Parts: sequence; C-alpha cells; structure tokens
Amino acid sequence: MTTYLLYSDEQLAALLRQGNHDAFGVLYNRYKGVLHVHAYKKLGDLEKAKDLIQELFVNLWSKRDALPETLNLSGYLYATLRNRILDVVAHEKVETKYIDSLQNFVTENNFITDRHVRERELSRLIEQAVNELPERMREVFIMSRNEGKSHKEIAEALEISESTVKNHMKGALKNLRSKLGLFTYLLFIFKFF
Amino acid sequence: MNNETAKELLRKYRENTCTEEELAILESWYLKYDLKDLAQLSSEDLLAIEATQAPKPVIEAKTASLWQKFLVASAVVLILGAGLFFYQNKTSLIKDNSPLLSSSEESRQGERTATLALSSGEVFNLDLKKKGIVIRAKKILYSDGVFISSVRSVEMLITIKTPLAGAYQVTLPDGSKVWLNAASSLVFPATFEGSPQRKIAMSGEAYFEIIENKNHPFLVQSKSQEVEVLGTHFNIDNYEDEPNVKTTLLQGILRVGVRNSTASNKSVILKPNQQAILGPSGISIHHVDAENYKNWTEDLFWFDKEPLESVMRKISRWYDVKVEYQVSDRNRGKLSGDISKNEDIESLLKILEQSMGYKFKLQGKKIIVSE
Repeated sequence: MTTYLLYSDEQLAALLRQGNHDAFGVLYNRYKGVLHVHAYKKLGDLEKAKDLIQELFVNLWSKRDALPETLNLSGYLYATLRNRILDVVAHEKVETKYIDSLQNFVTENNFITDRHVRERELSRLIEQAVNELPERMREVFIMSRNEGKSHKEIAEALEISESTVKNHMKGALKNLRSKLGLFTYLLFIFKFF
Repeated sequence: MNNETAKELLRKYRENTCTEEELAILESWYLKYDLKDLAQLSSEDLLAIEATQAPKPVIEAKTASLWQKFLVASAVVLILGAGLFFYQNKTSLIKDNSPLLSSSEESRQGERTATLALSSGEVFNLDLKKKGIVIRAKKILYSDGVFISSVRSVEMLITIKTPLAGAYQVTLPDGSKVWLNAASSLVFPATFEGSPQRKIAMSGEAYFEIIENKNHPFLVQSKSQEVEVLGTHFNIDNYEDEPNVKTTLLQGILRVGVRNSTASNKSVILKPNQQAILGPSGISIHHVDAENYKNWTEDLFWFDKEPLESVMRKISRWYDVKVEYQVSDRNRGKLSGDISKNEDIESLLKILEQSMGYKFKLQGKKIIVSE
C-alpha cells in the first residue's frame, strides 16, 4: 500500500476504475486538505464544508466505473466541488451576502468567457490553499502530486516500475544513464522498505 | 441596489437553465468571491480540518461494508503517509524540476560535483576535496568532522550521487563503509534502526565493507539484483553500459539474488575470491583474485584481459570524455595490468598506445581511437 502514495493521479484513477480501495484512500488523503480549505473559504462553515467533501468522494467512488479514460482527476474534483457549492449558494433560502456580491459582480460586467481559462484559474486557486494547510497535510499533497507525476514519467521511460498500470516505452531513449537518476532509486526504496 | 439579476441567475442555476454566458458569469464570480477570509482560520479550525475522518458510511446497507474497508484503508494510508513524509520543510513547493529530479533533465556529462540529496528535497553539493561523508547520530558530516546537515526525520532517505571523474566514500549510519566510483549513486535511510533489514540501493559501481551483524541482514539493491550480506567486503560493478553485473567477494559470505527473473538459477552464494556475473542468460560464479576488483578505490585503473571498448568505457567515465571509434573491431585486444588514475589523460593515452597498438588522439573532451 505504501507504493500508491507516489502514484500519479492518472495511475490512481486507473486503479480506482478497477475498484481499488487503497488507490481511492490515497486520492482521498491527497486532496481532502485543499478541497476542505477551499470549501470552507466559500461557505464559511467548517462542518458544511466537510460534508460536501465527503459527499464528493462518496460520489467519486460510486461513479468510478463511469470515469472517462482520459480524466483530469484534479480538474474533475475541483469543478464538481465548485458546482456543488454553487448549488448550495443557489439554494439558500434567506437573502445572503452572496446576493449583494453577485449583483456587484454582474454590474461590473467583467467575467471570463472561456471555460478552460476558468477551470485553470480554479485549479490555481484551490492549489494555492496548500500553503495554508497544516504541515503534515501539505507534505502529503506536495510530495505525492508533484513527485507522482515525475515518477510516472521516469517509470514510463525506464520500464522499471512494477506498477499494475502498463506503461509503454516511447521509443528508445538516448543517454539512459543520465535519466536513471536519484528518483528511480527512491522509487525502489519506497516499494521495498 | 436592485438584486433582481443576481436572484435570477441563481434561480436559473437551481433549475439548470443557465446559458453559456450566465454560467460564465456565475463561475467567474465564484473564483473571486470568498465568504470567509482564510486569515481568520483559527488553529482549532486547522486541527479540525486535519482531523477530518473518512467519509461517513452511506446509509444504504449494501454500501456500508465498502466503507468499512475504505475507513481502514485510508487510516492506514494516512499513518504510513505521515510516517514517510513527516518532517519540517521550510523550502517552497517542490516543483516538477526539483533538484531531486535534476538528473533527468541534464546529462551527467555536465556535472562536476558529487551531490547529497535528502528526501526532504534539499540538495547539497559535496566538496570533492574531502574524501567522504559520515552519517552519525542524526547528523551528516564530512569525514573530517565538518558539519553538512542534520537529519530531521528518521524516515529520511539520503541519496549520494557521484559525477563522472569523481569518487566518494560514505560511512553509513551503522558504521559500514561504501566507496562510490564515478557516475554512481547510493540511496539509504538516515538510520537502520527500526527496520528488519539494513537496506540500501545503488547504481554504477561501489565497494562495500559491511559491519557484521547476524541479527540485522544487510541488503544492497540494484536494478536487476539484490545482494544479501552478513558482514563482508565486496565490490559491485553495475554500470548501465556494462553488459554484465559483476559482484566480487573479498571476505565474508554473500548471497546474490536476481530480481525479476524467470531463470531457474535465481540466487548464488559467494565465498571469498569468487565473482558472480549476472548477464542476460542468468548468473554464474567465477574464481578471481578479488583484491584486484577493489583497486579503483585506491586510485588505480585495473584491467583484466580487457578488449578496447571495455578499457575505453572505464577511461571515459573517469576522465569524463567521449570516445569516437575509427577501428574495425572494438572488441579486439586483451589489456591487463594497472595504471594510476592520477595520470593526466595524455600520459595515459600514450601508455595505452604502446600497450594496445591503437592510436589515441585527444580533441577537447573527445578521444578518437584509430588503427
């Protein structure tokens, strides 16, 4: 199970589609921090935020079979969370601060028309919350996401990974030795320690 | 102010009847609007976030058991995760081009320093004038006692990487000594306490003098093999560009196991003056004068009936030069003997010319071999 901690989102998504509990657990721990902080910033209520996040992951699990092959996992989580929060806002029975703020915004008439740009902005916004996380949660997020990506690139390049996700070597590589870097051995250690 | 438009927008969102533009407005507003300024997150709030449990079991009976498993899985993962990564990192976000990964970007040719990397992301350039480093009592020091860094977490992994033309010595946390040859790496934990085995990983070439401890087996992992020792002196030649992996035992007892193998011969036991050679067809034992395989640690090149290409591989690693062949057969020749590594490359090439009968010409960082 230790090995999944360094898996990339793509690898975990593939395992998730197969119904792998451990992979799901890793994804949950990886993202819950930033998502929780983000939801809290938007809703102002820690408990409500927590409920939303848990609901988000419950749904992710129950929809795991239907997840598309080329899923941008973080993008999917972030967009789904945003939509849920907008839903909560839209269902507020009483006049809230939201209405004033939204009205002002509409009047300014300055919004992002491109959906992809909005999505990227959303990712950036959510991920900058990582700096506000408690130390340990920050570490889990940073290390697993960033190093998971590189792990995947290197593993793909060298076919060293014993992961259940098949990686195909993209043609011969020049200078194998220069690519056989420190990280590969970190990889070994994490698998076998 | 008339709030009609805002109310209208939200109603349409509820009813899922927003146009593209209305959606764009709402989502853009979402990006800008914060109900609660994060500066106000108290430490209690942060603790509450950290303490968030796994999702509550869903009410439906059929999915309840799924969540039981999930609860256990995520709790275990969290503990392992915390254990592996727990330490204080004051540096900024590790990006995709973090120092830990630098070797994947630049060619080894460019490197001039030995480096020490910690799993925290910190990287230190090691002074090649000092012969080696020591890990002792949660500190990393040069062998002359000069301080380099402390080990802030016992789970920390340490990676030493030597450049072309540079060798280094490492004293491991248990007192065992490793000599790393040029263009080699060694990865090991900050402490061996608490693990059932003393496990390290390497690439390239290294010579080991391992402190005996019958209760704490020592394992050296490399790409295709795993060596298990009790207390012993041995050399592993595992350079990528050599056709075989050679493990040579000077004293003690060693088991060499093959990883990922379908061959029938999966491991061999070595006695002193035996060498295990792991090649594509499996692993075999040969008798050798093991002392010779340690010569490089004393700054000697040593050749044993080696053909041209094999000789040039060693030379190119040590002097950090490329080789261009203008010969009909690179596998000709049987060079034996030792030459000091401290010779400058021109003198060395003259000696080789006389011994091997080839012509060697040095052009900048390239050697041209011709007949």
